[in-house]
Amino acid sequence: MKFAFAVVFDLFTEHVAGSGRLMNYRRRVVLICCCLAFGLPGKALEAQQPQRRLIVCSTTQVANFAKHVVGDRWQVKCVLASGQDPHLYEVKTGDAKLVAQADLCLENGWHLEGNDWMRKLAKDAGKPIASCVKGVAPLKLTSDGSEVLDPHAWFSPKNAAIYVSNIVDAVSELDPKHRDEYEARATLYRAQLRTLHLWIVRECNQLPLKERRLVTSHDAFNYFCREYGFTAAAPSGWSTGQEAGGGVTPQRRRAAVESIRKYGVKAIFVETSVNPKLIRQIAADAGVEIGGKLYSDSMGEAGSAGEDYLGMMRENVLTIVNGLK
Amino acid sequence: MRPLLALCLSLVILGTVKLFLVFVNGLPQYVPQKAAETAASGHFRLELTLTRDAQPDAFEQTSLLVTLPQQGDRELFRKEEVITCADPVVIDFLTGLIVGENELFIQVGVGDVEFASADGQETTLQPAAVRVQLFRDQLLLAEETLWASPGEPIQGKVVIDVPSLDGQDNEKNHEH
Repeated sequence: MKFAFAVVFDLFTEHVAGSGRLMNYRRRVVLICCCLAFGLPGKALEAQQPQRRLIVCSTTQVANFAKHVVGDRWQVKCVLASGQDPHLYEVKTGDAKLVAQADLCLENGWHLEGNDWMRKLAKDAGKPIASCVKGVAPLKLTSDGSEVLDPHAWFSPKNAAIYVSNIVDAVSELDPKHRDEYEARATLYRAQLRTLHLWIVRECNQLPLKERRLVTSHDAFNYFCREYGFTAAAPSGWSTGQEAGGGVTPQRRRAAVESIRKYGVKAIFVETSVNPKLIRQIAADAGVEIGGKLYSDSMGEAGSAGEDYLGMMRENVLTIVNGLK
Repeated sequence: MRPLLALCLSLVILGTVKLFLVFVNGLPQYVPQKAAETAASGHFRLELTLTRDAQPDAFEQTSLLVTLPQQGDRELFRKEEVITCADPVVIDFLTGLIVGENELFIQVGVGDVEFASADGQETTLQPAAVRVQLFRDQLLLAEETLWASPGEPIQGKVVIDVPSLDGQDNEKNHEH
């Protein structure tokens, strides 16, 4: 609209000045008509549509699941951008503003969000928050005498199905009228998750069991490994931050190098959301190749294979299987 | 003069669009006319013979689901517990079938595909099937077998043509 008025003003001033550029006038008249004829009805129709509710998610995976459940009925926004690490993320002013507009907040849970930043944001803004890991059978990690629940549960498509069910419950509580619609979408998506799971089983069956050893930047793939018969090793604990059981220690680094040598691992993998420097050093120390890049705590950018959960998992499995074959 | 003309033209276009929208919104709603359906008479019994136990998995809570898609997915049978494959599943006194084509949607879960971590075996994927038999007054009316890809649940539609029993079928409109 502003543009249309600017053109009208421009036209008027030219007319007053009497420059007499007739062709320009004609073109501009057509332009104005187009702007008004196509712009205004569009705006009017937009205004007729009801205001959509807003879900604010902490991580890209949770946002992706939420989009599959709510479709176009809700807006889904994510605090983290692709490639950002939820363990190390520092909250910005814009995040608090975003959460203040939310009708519902979703987090992964089990302290994936370093120092529970998403829960704190929701609490400060007085917004309801749901944890997606509710009901998942946790993997307990013990390190330095402390026990933590591994939060990277989405790496098993079976757990992803639980995430989806939790999101259906959370949105249906606020919008019970459309529960059937959310359930129907979730059922369709769970069928896709099953197909993904079976495909991963078939792909991993290409690797003999003794060769299923996955060495990555940080200890994020335990659920994947449990599901598909891999043994995991990582120089960094469950978190890239400094929480109990997290971070890099010389012992873990040494254990990772020894594991690679002992089992003759063919390749190790860097992660998209973690600095690759350490894993490159380990590859050089142990004399193995880098097998590729895995999507871990964050999904890929728009347009990449990892922009969607299904694509992210597919890409990861292809990278792992091709790297270890 | 010309700016005025441009504004007038714009108003004419906007007015036309508005008139068109009013006209379109004022049109009577299309209501599809459903042909009269005749309820099929007789005693119907559905028998499902499984090759493997029916059980839910992590992605679907039902072990066995039978619905009529033509009647707004009306459920004929739903179970979430494990059903052993030793005996056929019998759904007796089936109602709602009509004379002519009837669609039955059947879904049988085959349980989770797990990596056997205890004995370190590779995961094997098994195919599964279900034989569907529809009886009318103890006589076999239709029989079909649905297959699933290895590891996947059985999902399929069985189309059964129910003939009319002259003089016994009641003509009535099914409202959906």
